[in-house]
Amino acid sequence: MAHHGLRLALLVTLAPAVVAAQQPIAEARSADPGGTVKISVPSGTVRVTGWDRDSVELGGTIGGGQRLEFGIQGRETRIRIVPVPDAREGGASALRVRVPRGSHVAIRTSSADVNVDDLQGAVDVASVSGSIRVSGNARTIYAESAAGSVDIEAYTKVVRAKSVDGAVTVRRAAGFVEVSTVSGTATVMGRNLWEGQVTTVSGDIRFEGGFDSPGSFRFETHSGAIALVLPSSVRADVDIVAFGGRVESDFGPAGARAFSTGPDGTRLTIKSFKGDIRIRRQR
Amino acid sequence: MRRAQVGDAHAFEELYRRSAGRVYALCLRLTGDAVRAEELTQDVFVRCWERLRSFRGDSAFASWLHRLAVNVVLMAARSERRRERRVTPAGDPAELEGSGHVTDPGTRLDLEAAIRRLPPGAREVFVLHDVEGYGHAEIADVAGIATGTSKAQLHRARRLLREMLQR
Amino acid sequence: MSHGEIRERLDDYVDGCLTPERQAVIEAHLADCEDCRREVDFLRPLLAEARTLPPSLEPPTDLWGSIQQRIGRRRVRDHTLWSVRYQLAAAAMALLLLGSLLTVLLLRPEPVKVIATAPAVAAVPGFPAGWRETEDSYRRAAADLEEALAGAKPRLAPATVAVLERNLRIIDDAIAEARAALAADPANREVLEMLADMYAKKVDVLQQVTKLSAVL
Repeated sequence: MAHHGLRLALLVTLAPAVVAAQQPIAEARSADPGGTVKISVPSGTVRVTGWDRDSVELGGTIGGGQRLEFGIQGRETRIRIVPVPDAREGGASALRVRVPRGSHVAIRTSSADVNVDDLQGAVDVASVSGSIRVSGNARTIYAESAAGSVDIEAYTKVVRAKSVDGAVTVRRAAGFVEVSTVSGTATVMGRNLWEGQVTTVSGDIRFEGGFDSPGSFRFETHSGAIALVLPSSVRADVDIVAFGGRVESDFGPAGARAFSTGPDGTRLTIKSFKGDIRIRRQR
Repeated sequence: MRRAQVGDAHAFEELYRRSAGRVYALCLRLTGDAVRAEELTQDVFVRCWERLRSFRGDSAFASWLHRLAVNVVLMAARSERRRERRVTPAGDPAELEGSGHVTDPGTRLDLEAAIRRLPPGAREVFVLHDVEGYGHAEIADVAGIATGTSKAQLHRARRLLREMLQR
Repeated sequence: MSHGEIRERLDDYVDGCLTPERQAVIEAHLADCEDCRREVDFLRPLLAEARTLPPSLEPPTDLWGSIQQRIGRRRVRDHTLWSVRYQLAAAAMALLLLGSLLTVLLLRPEPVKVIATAPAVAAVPGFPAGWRETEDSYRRAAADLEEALAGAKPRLAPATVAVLERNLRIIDDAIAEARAALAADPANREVLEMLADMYAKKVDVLQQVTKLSAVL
């Protein structure tokens, strides 16, 4: 551990490029095509795009009172925008990063908006208030923002997306999806879904998609409305729990709260304390 | 063992020291969550203490404890899945600040990291079948799923691992 | 068998659970099919690697102290005795304790009983047995996290703090509603589950925000 710390310290002293006021940057370093790229940007924007070269290229501008740390250690590339000591104010940066397409990318921001595209490795994004957009075919995507929205359009078999206040949208999902928000709208569209859950407290839940059985899926809200659109041929064991809201379903006997639409189906649990629940047939 | 069975806490501590690593490894792989694994490891030993008297010694203690641990973890997972399940935090500071768990391809750590990223159902079946050597019928039994579901989840897990490990 | 059918059986093939005839069919196919061969070439070393993962991993903390307390019949651990390494770890553990208690409560095989006269729960008559303990633990978890979050607030933008507070109020309102519904119908497990979900959600949100704000 101490050894590791020493190497990192060395890396930082060798690597930093101190930038004064809002300044353009252009740097590139060779990187492992399947390595990890860790990016940390407090405010502004960061755009990360995959490409076919074995290098990490940085462009854009760094905010006033900030400096860049850009270092590579083994298979790990670190890009950090950090405040210059004694700096009065941290300005917004606008960072463009190109990374080898197969990289595992981890991004942390405070308020910076994040845009990730065209990656095939794992993508992890966490932000306090920035919005997050991910597109492409990343292997797995974890994205969470407290106050910002999360928008994912990716053919990815493992997606976890989360916000507190923001809307969370996942499109082209396939496989496993977990979506959670408190007051934002949660939207999931996909095919061949086998496991997952979509939960809110007051936000609406919208879902359109089909399942790859066997599997299980859960939709739950306190006061949001749940609207599901399912294929006519869906095979599912449906379990509805509702107290205050209305329940309308194109499937199952009228008024039934538990029914099956076919053998060996996906288990669907749909719960709302007082929001309406509507289950429609796809047309 | 006998002393632990009659309620000797020191003897039980000895049992804990000898088998905690095995139980923790199982909990960690099944849940993919280090904090959860610590809590479940505690649960397993508390349950073990409560049930120790019923252990007859006609099977090895290690395999009895192993089965108990699998039951505790899967029971908790099943109950959590019916309720709110926590999304694995991506914002874990340790993940960014630590040395990272993605290292050279082909190493064990790489496979461990990939297992952690599997969806829960597929991960449980992969760990039980391919790491722990359970058969599908046994998995179906302990996990409360159909044999076909166990097979489907294993298939999904292996395909996902292939993609994640990019081989 | 077609290529598609064979692909479906490659798992069984590498697991060695096919009849000799089927096995022979697949081997013949593998000789001709690059795609399936590559799949098998991936699966075999993967399975070998999976089987040789270290069977034992030391837990990062010594759990014996907590186990000892619990087997000493102290179901709810004393707050100050926790091995608190980090505030966040403590909060995470609190959340997990909440989870275990709810699991116990919800999985209890017998119907949930109603406490009639326990003086300590006089303020919440009609709640299921064990509920007070669960609720107390939730409150402690939330208090731990709120404390951790208070430390992080100066680093958050005022607008972000306002947004978070508004969402926490939304959850609190939902908890109050579900709680009132449970008081009116204490035997209703579905309401109990939904109330438990809301509690878990609140702790989860606090934990998420605390973690996110600790990163930078």
